[in-house]
Order: sequence, then structure tokens, then C-alpha cells
Amino acid sequence: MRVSIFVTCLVDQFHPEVGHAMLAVLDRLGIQYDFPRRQTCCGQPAFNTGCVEEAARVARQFVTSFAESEIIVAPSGSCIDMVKAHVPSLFAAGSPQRQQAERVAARAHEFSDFLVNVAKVTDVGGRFPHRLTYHDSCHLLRGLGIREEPRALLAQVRDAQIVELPASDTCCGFGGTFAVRYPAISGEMGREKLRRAVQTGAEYLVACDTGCLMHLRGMIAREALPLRALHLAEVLAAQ
Amino acid sequence: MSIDATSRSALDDDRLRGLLQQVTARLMEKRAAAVAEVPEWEDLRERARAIKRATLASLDGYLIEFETHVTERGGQVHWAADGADACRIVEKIAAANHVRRVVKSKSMVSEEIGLNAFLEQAGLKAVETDFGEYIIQVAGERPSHIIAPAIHKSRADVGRLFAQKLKIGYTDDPEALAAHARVALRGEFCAAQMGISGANFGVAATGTIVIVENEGNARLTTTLPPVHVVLMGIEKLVPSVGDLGVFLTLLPRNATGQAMTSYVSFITGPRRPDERSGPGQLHVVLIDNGRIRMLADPIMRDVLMCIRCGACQNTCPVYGHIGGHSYGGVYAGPIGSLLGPALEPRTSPPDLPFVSTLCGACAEVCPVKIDIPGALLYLRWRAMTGATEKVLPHRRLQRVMMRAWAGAMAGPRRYGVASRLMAIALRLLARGGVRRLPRPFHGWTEIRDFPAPPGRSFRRDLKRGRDERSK
Amino acid sequence: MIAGVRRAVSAWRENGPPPAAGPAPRVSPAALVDRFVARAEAAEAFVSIASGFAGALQRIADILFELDARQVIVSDDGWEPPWDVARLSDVIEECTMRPTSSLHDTSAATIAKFAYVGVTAAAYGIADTGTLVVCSGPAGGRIESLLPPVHIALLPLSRVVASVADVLAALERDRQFDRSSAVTFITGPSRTADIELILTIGVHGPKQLYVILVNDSPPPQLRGNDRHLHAARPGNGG
Repeated sequence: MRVSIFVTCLVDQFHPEVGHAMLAVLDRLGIQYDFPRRQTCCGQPAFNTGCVEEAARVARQFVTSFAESEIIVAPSGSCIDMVKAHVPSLFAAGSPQRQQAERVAARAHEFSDFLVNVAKVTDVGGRFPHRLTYHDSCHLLRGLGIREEPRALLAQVRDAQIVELPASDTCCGFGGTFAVRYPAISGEMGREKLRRAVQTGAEYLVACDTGCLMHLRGMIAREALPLRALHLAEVLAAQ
Repeated sequence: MSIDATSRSALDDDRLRGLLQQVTARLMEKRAAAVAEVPEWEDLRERARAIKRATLASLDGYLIEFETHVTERGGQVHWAADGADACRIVEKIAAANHVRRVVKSKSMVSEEIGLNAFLEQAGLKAVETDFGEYIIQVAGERPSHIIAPAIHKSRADVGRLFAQKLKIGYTDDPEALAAHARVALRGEFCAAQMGISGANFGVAATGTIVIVENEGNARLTTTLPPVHVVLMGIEKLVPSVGDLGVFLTLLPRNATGQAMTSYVSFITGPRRPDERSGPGQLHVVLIDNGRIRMLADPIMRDVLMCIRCGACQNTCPVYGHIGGHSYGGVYAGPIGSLLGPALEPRTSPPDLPFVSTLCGACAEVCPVKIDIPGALLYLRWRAMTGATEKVLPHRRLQRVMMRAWAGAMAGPRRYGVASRLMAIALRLLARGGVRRLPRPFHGWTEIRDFPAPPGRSFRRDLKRGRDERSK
Repeated sequence: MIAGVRRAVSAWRENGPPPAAGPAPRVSPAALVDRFVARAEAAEAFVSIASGFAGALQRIADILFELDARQVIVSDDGWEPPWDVARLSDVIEECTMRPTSSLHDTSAATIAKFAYVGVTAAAYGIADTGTLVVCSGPAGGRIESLLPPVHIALLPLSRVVASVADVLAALERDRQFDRSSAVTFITGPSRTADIELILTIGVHGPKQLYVILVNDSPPPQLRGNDRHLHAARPGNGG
């Protein structure tokens, strides 16, 4: 089994530590991987703002970059949802590009989905002696149907104390450009999510999407909340 | 007013938000319990969607069938191309019958067409009889929620309102307030010459109008006055009585968590010659007002399946924070972001389809499985590319920027250059966390910090030390 | 407008819904009645079971005494023999010392002002939801179950069906939508939760609903709920 890493633009640019954590876990499991150098982005920021043509341009680059990959793994539910749900439809029906996009989409996995359902492991040797709570990112949960996998992985992390987050599946308010255009609403949604997280007594809020995490971390810093936000990969990589 | 502005004032109103959130949470709890009782729930949703799609796909035939049967039973069918048309039709019916007093039961479409204001100008005041609608009529406001229009008013609010406007002693006891409304409205029901109602469904095979309610005011509105006028959007039809079974199971449970509402009225024509009570005339006004345009659009026709249950509103976190009035029209919440632009384009804020994180909670609860996020994306595309409407100037600018961004993302080298430039810019802006981003990104830092730029991007790191690994 | 609709849907082909699932598993009549009672009571109706029309009349008398009712209107519709609405009127007149015909042909306004109890027959009951079905007809069936604050409905046990789908099928078979201008589903008394979602019973429609299930045939084996039978026995004072 050989895995191609789709690092995603947010992780690449702002949180490379998440990418490295993912590699550390794969190393531990003895899984071979490569990094197709031509990758850039899945096109979601353009697509979600209605700029379909621009999204198609970026998506074309994505499909070409991963055309030869057996398995594609990304540390992001929203990116993989974009790839599976929308990228193929950006190409003309019946065209060879559409077929290629569909093939690539079928091989794409979000990180926790890959570990549990492809690599068939839930114990990745992590140790994280802290109290933590988990937030269900919207596209991961409702787009990809991934709910139990992150929980199963966290349950195997040694010495981790896991508390279920009330209303874990309510949107945190990131929503891509929504966070920039409607900061007042986005902020209220984030505040509510963080209030619930703080109430659980958890030290860490964990999620699988860097967008959610950047939004929540930014608010934690601004409002000086007693909480830290981490990507699932970072928890799994910890020892 | 932009929705950003109206929503900010709503967000400032902590009390409103608290009430709204309490109420929507309760409704969702009750919904969950009611849905759990129906093991075939998902099948029913699928069936409901299929019935609605099939009906809309042959709507012309069903409309003709409906008209035929209403007429056979002694009713009259009128066709209104738009809201103004519909209002004039109602006025004509009122004039022909020397109507001086009108009672109304709940009808979203009547709000959509501005009927009350129109009638008032014509010298006819239509008294709202639905308790929530009565409250907001007395208050002079618009409904903020499909199912509970006065949801934004606390009991103290209503107590003060009634005390002030209706000159009764102050009480905030809901039972006393409801009793007062009952007494006050009985007189209206008995004195009115015309009752105006909406319809939840229309059955093509029998010409039957179906009205779902809890209070009994729709029954009174459609029984006591000698003339009954039904306002109905053309999308409300279902083919047969049997089809109603699916909808009457889905609607009450999804809307209020009830297995069945207190009353469901099936009205077929005016009273029969040998019946003792009931209106002598039944008029059904079938309204287009933008629905045919939606029907012609392959994406928007899905939205026409809506049965107005309100569950999408109740689950939407955005709605929960900004409330119904921010949507600029009768329809609020996720479905409001779709119906508003289509049916009330003059008052619907143009950026409404963008005021969503596309979280998908709404689509999960929709009884007819409308792909709400998908339709919102479609409207965003229309706004950005001008497929059916003019592109607003700020959208043009956004598109230009997106084009530039896409250009940067289109190849690894350009991506590399762009990311270096951005990293430099960020470093110039901050040390240890960016507190203010420049326009047009300033919205981010209005309420949250931006991360300090990392030393190197992931891929540059990989290039440096950690190359492809094989173990 | 039809032409506009036709143009809008011209290229649209849609398959109809899949055929409905097979008939639901048969539920015993006794279980149906149990379910009906439970759901109707959950909707705040007062439900009792009476043996035969005579038992029902006794129960009505008991209710009228409890309520100290004076003005009662009766819908003359939907009473199938051997149910005799004349006997019903006699019993009511005895209890209230007023003829039921006193409000008979008065205006709705008068009825609204004076009538305290409305008595009707019900055509069907829906077990899944505790719902009554009342049909309008030549002799009433609309305002009797709507204007007075109290509504008493008599429903033959044999007319309780399982589901909404079942009752709609039955009504269609009966061609009820041709015959009645108004068929009404009634589930409990009227209610509103428009103020802060606080449930208030009794708004515009009746505030109290009494459902008397009439056991016209040899009594089915009913599990539990003996108190209903107990209350219906003549001479038991309710």
C-alpha cells in the first residue's frame, strides 16, 4: 500500500505541524507515502463562493497531480468532501477529465477514514495524557459520514481522557469565506462552540479540519480562553 | 440594508437570541422524539420527495385536474400571475359580496403578496386569527418564524402589548392571554363576511384543500363566514388523497414534534346544498408570483417541494443567532435564503445565499430532502457570474480576486511564489499572531487572531530534510 | 398560466414514487383500541369505553352532570342505526332540562355565545395518532365540534383503524370527499404554544374533548384499562 499525501493549502501554509504529525503516524505504522509535488489546492474556496470556473481550473490541477496515486490521504474533511462531492461535476459529463476526476475522487480519503477503514487500525501508538473533547466538522460528518472513526482513534490514545462535547455536530462558524464576510455571526457561533468546550473541563478541543481549528484557535487567543485546539493528527502523533 | 448590518443588530439583542435558541432547541428535541417513533422515517422522506418531484414535473396537468374538481363541487378557481394580481382578485371577491369585515387564518403566501396592507388601503381590515399572527398584527410586526410567528416575543412582551394596545389589565399568563384572544376573536369570526385562509396541500384528484392547525382558528375562518377564499401557491398540489398520508405523517412531527396536530381540515367545495353550516362560496386563488420561473430552473424546482415545516430554521445555527427579521421577508432560515431571492426579490438581501456556512444541518432534517446547500451554491454562482441577474460591483471585485487566486493555485511554481509573498506580507504585519489583517480580509481579525506565519511551509520542509520515505 | 407551467416543465421527466410498502402487519382490534386510547389521552382528550349505545348515553349523562351543562347542541349527522339520535336528545334534555333543539336553527353567533357542549358522531378513529374523523353532512358536523368549549364524540370501536394511510383509504372508498364539504381530523382539544412555546389548551376550538368509544359488538378482550369499562357501567356515577 502506498499513500499519496494531499497536504491541503491551509495546512501547507499555516499549520505544517499537522502535516508532519500525519507523517509521523504513518511512519509509526510503516506505511509508505509520497508527496506529489504538483499539488496545490482542491478549489473549495472558489467553489464555495460561486466561482465555479475558477474552481474548475484549480481542480484540474488537483486531478492531474493525483492521477497516478493509488490512495490519497488528506488531513481535512472539507477538502476530501470537495474532491468527492463536487470536483468531478466541474468537468463535462462523459469527458475523459470527468472520468479521471471520478477515479481520483474514489481513491481520496480523509486521514481518520484512511486509518480506520483502509489501514484498518485504531491504535496508532499515541499517548496524550490530557482531557480532551472532539468537535465534528460539518463536511466530515454530513458530507463524508465520518463520525465514529475519529472517536475510535482517540479512544485508543493512551492516558487520554475523552469527554463528549454537547452539540458536537453544530457548526463552529468557520464556513470558509463566511468567517471573513460575516465575522459577527461567525464569532457568535464560535463563541457558543467554545463555551461548550470549556464547560466540559477539557484542556484540548480536537477536530479534523484546519479551517475549523484556525477559526476556533483565533478566537481562543483573542478571548484568552482556557482551552487549546489541536488537530487529530497531532494528538495521534504525540507520545 | 445589508444583511451584515441587520444581523449585527439582531446579534446584539441577547434576549431575542436567548428566546429564539430556547424555542428552536425545544422544537428540535420534540421533533427528534416524534421522528424516533416512525421506523420508516427515511423511506417516507424518499417517498415524499418522489411524490413532490413527480407532481411538479406534471404540474400543468394536475392544476387542470384540481380546477376541474373544485369547480365540479361548486367552488371557483382564480389564477393570479403575481402578488398584485392575487390581491386584486381578493378585493373583487370582497366587493362582489359586499364584504366589510374579514378574518384570516395563517397563510405565508398572503404575507408574501402583502395582502393585508392592500386590503387595508381598500378599506378592509383583515383580522389575523392565528394567536401568534394576532399578536404580531397587534404589534405591527412581521412573523419571524414559519411555525411560531411571535417566537421573538416573551410572555411579558405580549402582556405589555395587550395591556397597551387592547386596553386590558396586564397579565403575562399565556392561558389568560389566549383566553382573551379567544373572546376577542369570536366576535370577529361571527361578524365577518369573508374568511381568508392558506392551504398546506391541495389534492388534484378531488379538488380538496387541506389545512393543518392546532388552534381551531382556521376551522372557524373556513366555516363561519359566508365566503371562503383560499390563497395557495401552485406548488402545493399533490396528486391524490392517498399521497397525503405521507405528508400528514412527516409534517406535524417535523414541525412541532406532534404525531398529529389538533385539527386537519379537508375542504372540498363550499357547503353542499343540504349542509347546515359552512360557507356558501369557496374561491381558490392559485398564485404564481415567481413559482413558474423556479419550476423552469432545474435546481430551483427542488426548492418548490418545500412543505413549510420550519425544521430547517429550527436547526440552523445562523438563523438561531440572527432571527427571522434579518432575512428581509416572510421566509426565513435556510429555505428563506432560497425562497426569498426567488419570490421576494425586492426585499430579499442580495447577499442572503452567502450567509451560510453550508453546514448541511438543514438538509438532514428536510422532510422532502431538498439539497439546500446545493441550491445555495447555485445561487452564489448566479450572483457571481450574472447568469440570470446583474452582478453587483463588489461581487465583480471578489471574482477578480478569486481569478487571481485560482491563477496562483493553478500550478506549483506560481503557488510557491504566491505563498512566499504571502508569508513575507504576514511577517510584516505581525509578530506572534496577527491582530489586524488588511482589507478585504479584515473581517477575520475583527473577532479572532490570525496565526503567526510559520517558518516554512510543509512542502518546503519536506524538500529540505524529509524526503519521500520508504521503510 | 397553465401554458407557462407547461413550458417550464416541458423537458422534465420524473419517475413516480416507488410503490408503497406492503400492507402493515395486522394489529388486533384490542391492540388498536389500546393504542388509540393511549395516543388520544396523550393529546389531552378524555377517553372512555362504553358498552353499546346505552352505555354511551349513560356516559354522556355523567359528563353533562360533571360539567353542570345546560346548553347542548347535537349534530344530527353520522348516526348510523341502531344509534338513535332521538334517544340521545332525550337523555340530554333530561340532564340539562333544556331541549337540544333550542339552539338548533339559531345563528352561529348565538351558538357561539350560548352552547356549552357539542355532541357528534365520529366516522373513524386513527390508532397511531389518537385522532377522530368527523364529516360534515346535512345535519351538521362542522360547528358542533368547533364552537362550544366542550366536544363529546362517539366513535364505534369497530371504526378504529391503524394509520393515517388506512383512514384516508377508507374515506376515499366511502367517497367522503365528494359527499362532505368538510372532513375534519380532530386530535385532542385545541391548543397553542405561540408564547414562548408554553402549551395552552383551549384557544379557538374546544377546550375539552371527550371521546366515547362505543363497544357495539361482543366486547373484545381488552388488556388493562379496566377503569374505562368500569366508568361506563350504567349506574356507576362516572
